[in-house]
Amino acid sequence: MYTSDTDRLKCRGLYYLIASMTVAAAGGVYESFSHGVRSNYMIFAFLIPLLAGAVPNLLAALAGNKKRADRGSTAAAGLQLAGVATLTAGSLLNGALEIYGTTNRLMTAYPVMGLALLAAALAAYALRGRRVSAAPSEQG
Amino acid sequence: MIRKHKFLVAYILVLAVFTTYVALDTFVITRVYDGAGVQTSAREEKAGAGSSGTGADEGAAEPVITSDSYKDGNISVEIKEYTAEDTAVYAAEVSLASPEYLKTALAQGLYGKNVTEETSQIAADNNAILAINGDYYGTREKGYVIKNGELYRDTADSGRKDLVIYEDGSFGIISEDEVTAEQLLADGAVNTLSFGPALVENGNVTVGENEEVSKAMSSNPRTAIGIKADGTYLFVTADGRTEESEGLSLYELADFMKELGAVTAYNLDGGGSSTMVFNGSVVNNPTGGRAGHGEGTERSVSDIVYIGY
Repeated sequence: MYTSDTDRLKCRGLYYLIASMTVAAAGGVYESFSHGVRSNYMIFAFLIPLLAGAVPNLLAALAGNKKRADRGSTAAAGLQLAGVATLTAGSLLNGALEIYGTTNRLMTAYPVMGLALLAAALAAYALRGRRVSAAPSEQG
Repeated sequence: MIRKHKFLVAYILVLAVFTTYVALDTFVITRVYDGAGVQTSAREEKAGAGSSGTGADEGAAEPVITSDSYKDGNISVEIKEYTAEDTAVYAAEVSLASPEYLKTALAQGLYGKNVTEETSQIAADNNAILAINGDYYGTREKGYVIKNGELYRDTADSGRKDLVIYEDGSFGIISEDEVTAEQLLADGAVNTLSFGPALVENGNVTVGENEEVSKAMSSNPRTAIGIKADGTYLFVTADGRTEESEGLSLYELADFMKELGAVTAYNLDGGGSSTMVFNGSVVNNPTGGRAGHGEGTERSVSDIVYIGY
């Protein structure tokens, strides 16, 4: 399906970009029906898939470094997607609650779980990158 | 493809289910908490130990009722409609022979989460002469809840200021950071309204021109309660979000309350919740339904403030 790992990263980055635009549109529509009640969680939810998904993937692809591109292992990418999805869902829901003027103690689960997943994804990328970096030098 | 990403797919499903549950828990699932008040005020203890009823209506003369007024030996209510800042504002001036006619009531008579009824229904259930929506305590998990001398919730909401109605009928503004709910009861509090902000204190407007409730912008339907220096109570609702009535900012509402003569005034839950009921009829034009569909419809709320026997 992909001609290279770089293309795979580009593709992931574009998916995140589309997700970011979709979240921005959803937040905008919700805000337009909220009688002027604003929630930064709703307005800025699109930044999560943008900054934690699209930007790192596209930067890695643009860097064009084969070793970096190779870091996009399936497990790490899955953890990254799960983390971004958790934080984004939490931000949108928190925005809806804030606009309604209510709270829910269960909302704390989203940042905790989301950040833990992103930290795990970072660790997985780092481990993968170390292995890839180590491999050529051993051969050389 | 799905097999390859089965753990991710499973996680996303779990996330969707959890999110749905949180949304239902917040907006739909009803939870009634047992054991009503954990503590009772002196006034309620006296009422409970006394004879049947409060004896309040014993001296009441046959009421004279018009479309905008009520008068008997104990209670006098007069409602006037004003136009302020392109907004229809309804203000009821209430004089009472005894502060015990100023009461609060819970939706369905129950304390809990997502326990709601329309203001007019709660008013009807309690034979209210005049009623306005209250603080909608049910949308929040913190903030003192004292209703008719019963303490239901003693969890302070940091930074929140409450309106306290004492057993002598006087109003006070307190910070939940500075006094416990138990202390309020000991001091003679009969009702707390935990929404805010305070609009007028000691006869002075206490909100800034750009101050708003939480994240709200200006010009919304509003509900406020106040007291004048002579002990007359003010119940006020302002229509908003319609072409006919723009709505008020908090500052405009505070200014209006001051103009009416309030020495203490407090903002209650507004927006779609804002409703005034007099003798079984809704006085204002609530916009309680969802955006664009709610004009003329009441929103269901947790509680009301009312005048009645």
